[in-house]
Amino acid sequence: MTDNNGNLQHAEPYKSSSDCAIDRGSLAFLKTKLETRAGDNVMSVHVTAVPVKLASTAIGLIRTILPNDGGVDLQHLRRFAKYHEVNDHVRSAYAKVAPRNDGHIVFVIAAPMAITTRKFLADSLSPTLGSLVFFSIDVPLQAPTSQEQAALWSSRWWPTVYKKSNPFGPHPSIMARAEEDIEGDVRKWMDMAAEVAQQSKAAGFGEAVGVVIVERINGVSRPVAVAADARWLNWPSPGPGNVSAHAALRAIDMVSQWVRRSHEAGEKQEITTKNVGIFRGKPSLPLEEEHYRAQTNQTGYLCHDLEIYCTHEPCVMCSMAIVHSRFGRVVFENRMHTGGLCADGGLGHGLFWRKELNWQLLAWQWTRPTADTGFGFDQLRISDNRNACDELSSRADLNA
Amino acid sequence: MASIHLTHMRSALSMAQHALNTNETPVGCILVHPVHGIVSTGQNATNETYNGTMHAEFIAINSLLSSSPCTLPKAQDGAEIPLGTSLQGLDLPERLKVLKQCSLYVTVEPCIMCASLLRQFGIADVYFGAGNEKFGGTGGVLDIQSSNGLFTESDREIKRTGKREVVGGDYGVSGGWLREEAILMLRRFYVQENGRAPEPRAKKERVLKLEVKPLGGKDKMSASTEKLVVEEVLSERPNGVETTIMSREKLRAGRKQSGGKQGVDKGLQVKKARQLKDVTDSGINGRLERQQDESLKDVD
Repeated sequence: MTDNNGNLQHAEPYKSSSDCAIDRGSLAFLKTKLETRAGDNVMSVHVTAVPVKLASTAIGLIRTILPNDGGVDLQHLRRFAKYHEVNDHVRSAYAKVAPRNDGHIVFVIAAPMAITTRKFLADSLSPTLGSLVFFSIDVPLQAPTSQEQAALWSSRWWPTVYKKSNPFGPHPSIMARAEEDIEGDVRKWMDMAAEVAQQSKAAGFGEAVGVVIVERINGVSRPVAVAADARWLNWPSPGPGNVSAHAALRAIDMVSQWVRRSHEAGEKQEITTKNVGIFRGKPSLPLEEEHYRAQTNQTGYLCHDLEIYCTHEPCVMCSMAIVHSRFGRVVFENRMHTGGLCADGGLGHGLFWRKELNWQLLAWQWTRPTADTGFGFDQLRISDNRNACDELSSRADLNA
Repeated sequence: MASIHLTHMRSALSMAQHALNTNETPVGCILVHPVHGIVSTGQNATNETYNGTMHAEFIAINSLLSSSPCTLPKAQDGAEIPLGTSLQGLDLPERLKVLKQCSLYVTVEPCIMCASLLRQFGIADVYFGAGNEKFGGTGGVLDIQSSNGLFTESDREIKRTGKREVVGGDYGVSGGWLREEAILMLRRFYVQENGRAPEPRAKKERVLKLEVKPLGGKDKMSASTEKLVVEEVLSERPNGVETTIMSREKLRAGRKQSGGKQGVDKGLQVKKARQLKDVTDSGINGRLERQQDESLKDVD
């Protein structure tokens, strides 16, 4: 627990200000690869207008002639919408086929265009419902993943329902709970990552990139490894530097040393901590050493369900190393255009949550409070076209 | 000549065999320089180090860039890997240059992490055996070798017509070299226990299957029901908790088991027979085959 206390000392300078909730900065959950794709997809549907009184008759009839909507999921769409509930674009599509609007109608999604024809619908429904007009509109193909998205789609396409579920990523309730877990101390770890990053830069070991690995047990969190980038440590420049000395790989290496030591105790002599070949697992900076001797309770895969806080979005290699090591959560501050986590923009790989991969974890981008300038955090912004975690400069350049 | 690639892949396979013998996931690789010959070897070391990122590619690059001479294990049949000229005396900048000119021969497609490692350090070409559609980084899931994978999904068309721009750091990839051997190696590991997996699964019912589906298999039904051994095996790579003594015991048991099962007839009906689905995506198959054809053409 001494490690924990030591760590608290470090957090002290910022703690006074973090009492105020707004100073914690803000967390934004990353969009998954599937989510970024899903938003763009629409399908065309047949819509008709029936008198309000006949609405339930109409839907009963539709369910009889096209059971289960031909296998197309329409659960996220309102089946009925009143005239004032739809947007202008739907109203004008209606106006083109209906000479007059008597106001007592309700629009019904009859069927996806992919499964049937307008003629079939007219032939099947008209005997009961009387003469009907049909028109077609585009609607979102898949369920929205947030209330905001549902509102946006409702105004753009058709009334859409958000059901607090996410077929393309982690369930919203899981995300919300995880966010509650971490938001109290996210800033502490991000500040620590920033501090070790600056120590590395100042010492000439590497770029100003740092990570903190945190273990959280019963709501109590503590760092189990702190590491900065060390790509220039005993390494020639120019070039990409020592790729295997990226901060995330070093931190994972440090955790593995302790896991190994605790499991091989009594069998082998003490494992000597040194930098072997290209590997830079030896803690070399003050903060790294201070938090190196933390015991972990890891009993399964390395880093299983641990949290990793990064000053910069990990590169493709480090992102995949995080997946391989079975981390539970990752938070980073600065987006990188060579990063591996984000799905919306940049390389777009979204490695934190992909169906193909055998492990998924939760990922956030954290934004520092805007008033927060006194700590030299500007140095963390990559300014000289030098890479943070990969070959090139900040992704902000691309997006700007 | 294609035979040179096969020869090199055999060396990589003997590294994989060595990994298998030491209870590591049987993935092996070598780095070959056009002048110096074989300059480095690597095998998976995730169990030994308790570090799930210690894949064969990292070990091989470490060995090449370290001044300490790499020790090469003997292949099981006693044949040694024909080492190239010594790099003794070369300093790190010179070794980094050597690495950029090397070809990697690896028994299983590099994962996304290693594909990015290779990209960032720089490598000329990658030749691999079995594909890995679970986390392969050179065609399986992403195409990190081309533009850092930026066009993996959106640019398949352009890629097919061969009009893609080559970006700095890109490297050539050719898959399918001795893939059956690489797959069988993984299966042998699969019927062994991996003591360091978090919940070692009972493998008594696992039987070594010796048939390997040809690339581009058209049997959709079986493709969809096949269980992916690459996934099963590679997902056990990162380490768990077990003493060395325990894992040594398991290793012995595993050896006995796999040794006994190797003689099983090909057509044996097994309830839970799992088969490696190497690369089922026909698009990828087509590309790999084409690449292999092209590389054959190149060297003939």
